Amino acid sequence: MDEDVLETYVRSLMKSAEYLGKAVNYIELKSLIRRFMEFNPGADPRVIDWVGVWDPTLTYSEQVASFQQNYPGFRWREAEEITEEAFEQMKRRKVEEVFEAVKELDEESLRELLELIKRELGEVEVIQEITPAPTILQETPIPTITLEVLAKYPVFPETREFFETFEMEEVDDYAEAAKKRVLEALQRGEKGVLPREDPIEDLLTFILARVLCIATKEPWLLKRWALAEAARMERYLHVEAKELKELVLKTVLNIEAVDDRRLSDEFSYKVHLAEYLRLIRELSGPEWRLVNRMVHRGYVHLTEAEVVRLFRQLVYQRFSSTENVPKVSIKQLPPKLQEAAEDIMRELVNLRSSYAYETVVEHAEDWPPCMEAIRARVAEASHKELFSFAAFLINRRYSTEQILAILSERPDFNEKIARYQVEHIAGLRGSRTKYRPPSCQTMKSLGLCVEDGRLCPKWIKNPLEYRKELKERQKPKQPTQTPP
Amino acid sequence: MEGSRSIPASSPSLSVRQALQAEQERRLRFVRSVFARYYRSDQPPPIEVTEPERREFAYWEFGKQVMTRHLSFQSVGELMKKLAEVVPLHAYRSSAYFRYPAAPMEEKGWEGADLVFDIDADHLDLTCVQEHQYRVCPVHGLAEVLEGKCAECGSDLIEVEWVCERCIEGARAELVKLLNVLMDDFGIPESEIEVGFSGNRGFHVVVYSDALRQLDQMARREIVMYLTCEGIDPSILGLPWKGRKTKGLRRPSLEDPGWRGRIVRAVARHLVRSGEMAGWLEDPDWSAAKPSYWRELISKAIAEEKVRIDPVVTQDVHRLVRLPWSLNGKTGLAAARIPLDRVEDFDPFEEAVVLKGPPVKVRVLFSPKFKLGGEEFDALEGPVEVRMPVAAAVYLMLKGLATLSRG
Repeated sequence: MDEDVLETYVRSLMKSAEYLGKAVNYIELKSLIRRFMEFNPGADPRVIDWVGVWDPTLTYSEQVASFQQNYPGFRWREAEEITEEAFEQMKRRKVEEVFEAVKELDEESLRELLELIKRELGEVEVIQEITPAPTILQETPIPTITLEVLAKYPVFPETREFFETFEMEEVDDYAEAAKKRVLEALQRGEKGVLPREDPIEDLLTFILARVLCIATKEPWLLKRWALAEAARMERYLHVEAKELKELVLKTVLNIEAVDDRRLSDEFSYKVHLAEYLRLIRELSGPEWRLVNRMVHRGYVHLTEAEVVRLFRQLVYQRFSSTENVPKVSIKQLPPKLQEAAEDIMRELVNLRSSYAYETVVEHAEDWPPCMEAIRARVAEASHKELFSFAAFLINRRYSTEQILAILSERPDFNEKIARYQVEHIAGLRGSRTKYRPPSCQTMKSLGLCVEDGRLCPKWIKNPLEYRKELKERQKPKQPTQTPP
Repeated sequence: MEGSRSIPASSPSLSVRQALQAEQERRLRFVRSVFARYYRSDQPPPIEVTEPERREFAYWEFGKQVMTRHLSFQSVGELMKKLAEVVPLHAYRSSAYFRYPAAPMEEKGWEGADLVFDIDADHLDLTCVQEHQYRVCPVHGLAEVLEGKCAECGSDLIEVEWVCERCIEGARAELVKLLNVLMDDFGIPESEIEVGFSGNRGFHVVVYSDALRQLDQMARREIVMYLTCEGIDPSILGLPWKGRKTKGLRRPSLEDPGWRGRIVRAVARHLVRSGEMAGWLEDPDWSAAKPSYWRELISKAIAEEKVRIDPVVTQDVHRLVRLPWSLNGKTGLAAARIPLDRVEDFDPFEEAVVLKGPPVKVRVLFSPKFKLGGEEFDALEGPVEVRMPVAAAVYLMLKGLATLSRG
């Protein structure tokens, strides 16, 4: 990435930060990215979720530490200088350790060890002559799915097999750790769940956290948790070894290698149009719009970093979906898990009351079908939909608190940002313009109009003009449709 | 009555209105009888619908203000029987597949929908549309004004939606662009594409693809944006655009797929036409000119290449689509199916003319020169009585330009 491209990239990041209402310091961000590129030559800075992880309350060095914590696979700092003395000390300590261990060996093992040491010291060259490197025969190794791999990417069918070897009662001791994982997800959201050390605990708490979220029957919680887990997996995957990365991606996504010469130098993968459109449902950036993609013969072409981003979307969609989920209720869980689930519920109630929103009095019967529809899918709604919806509510004199209460159903809800945006639309900030929802015409062109306006009185030009009484009065008239 | 003479010609007298009403009813009865001959013929129209048992059907009847909806048929044969019985003014099938097609909308159980595209000459900003904007008085013929009432009798003027060959050519150009994107970019095989004439001034394209059938409204919105270039950002596609320097950009290639290639080809065409930057084609490089130069050419290229479809139709997952080979009640022409290899030379004023019967005597209010069913008709400044082939007579009557002669 040369200076020009970096400049453009940082500016686009600043734009999306602004869009999210996040205060990001331009100079700091740019120097952080420069630092990243310097320490990780060859790595693409686009794999880092700069804006997502950025925390405006931190100092620059804390910021670096936070990125290091979130992306431990990359180098973020100069390695500490080691003095000769310290090196000697470390060596001596290692030798002592080995010596202690050797004391415990029996005679046969000692003899074996001696052989090994001899070979290591003197006969290295001979060994190399006898067995020349079999480079020609070597195929790309198929990575084995170890427990560590499963713990990092619990997307393989083996996850289920692993869990099925346990009885629910056996895993009850992991309830506390699973609860921690859910609460961490609740708190960190898009920043992702932090890495765990023990793979068995990692994998079990992942599965149990999901069980807990499902058992609480709080769709928002399940979504928020899925968001954090998907972000975690994405981060691992960006820095994963090539073979394993490919295996994970191909297990989850229907991707193919690009064979067209005209495209293969820019893009590594392609995905079918229909699958692409499903994956980008929640992505709002212009770079994801189909019109800005290279589309050829039914396939959308993607760089590896982009495929990894879509992997995150798919993982999110899969783990946040309540379809085909086993029906579990809190009462069916073993005692410690039950307790954990109840703790989580309490925490959720606390969190919600800490928002201190007014109870919402929704007069949804007075809402036009388009607004009802956005209300119904508020958790998945796009930026444009939310804008229209918030503008509608503001103009119908709902308070900021009431609107925030509805918006808090979103898994990526961030109170500070949401409040800023709502107040912006209400004209309390920035340009001081109070916005109206888009006209019916615009709603139509945005694809947000329901049934082409057939359910509304003919004369309304803006969703705001819709009132239930008026619709009732119109009812005797038959619905009309312009034939195509 | 003395007083009635002083009433200005702003509202026609009761007797005139009654006469007009009676005439219209007579006219519709006549057109219906001609339509009936088509639907009840020994050689019935080749109407084809895939998976009819999973679709909803609907029609408008002559003289009724309401569309009859939520009909379900187990076979095309059953549907044909109904058409012969009802003789509709317009007939439709749903693009959507339902579990219970006859249930009310909320209970139908949506199971996917074909991808539908509508190209209408009226939405293409063609210059000819202004040239054939007519208003006629049902009594006095062509009116001078484009608004209000007839200056002579106060009757409401009828707005005529005339269609000329340039309209059809304009729509055809968009159709060809659409088909190219569907096949080259979206990779849809020819066997899954159905092209049809709308029966008036445009074309319909239906894509029967298992892979795309499940797309929801938002996904279809992406497809609309792709075709119409809405939200396109050429800099993301690696083209010189705002905030992007030409240095370090990929060399332009005429062979590139997708919008990038399409834009580069259109830019190259402009350069060839204008004679500017000779030699660029042999060694194409964006750094050969300033970014602002390219920006202008790229804007032009996009305006030329974007496909002007009706966005609402494609986004709607509950759309009703005209039945292929049914009659269009605005013209009496058939919604003819067009084989893909005939798209370039299909002549709707020839091949969509299916109405048969002895010539009819009509009273033409006004008519521009037109061609229909292999015959040419001179412009007429009426009202004037003439004898015409039945298809031409029905065409003018449904456009509001002729009435049935009393003789």
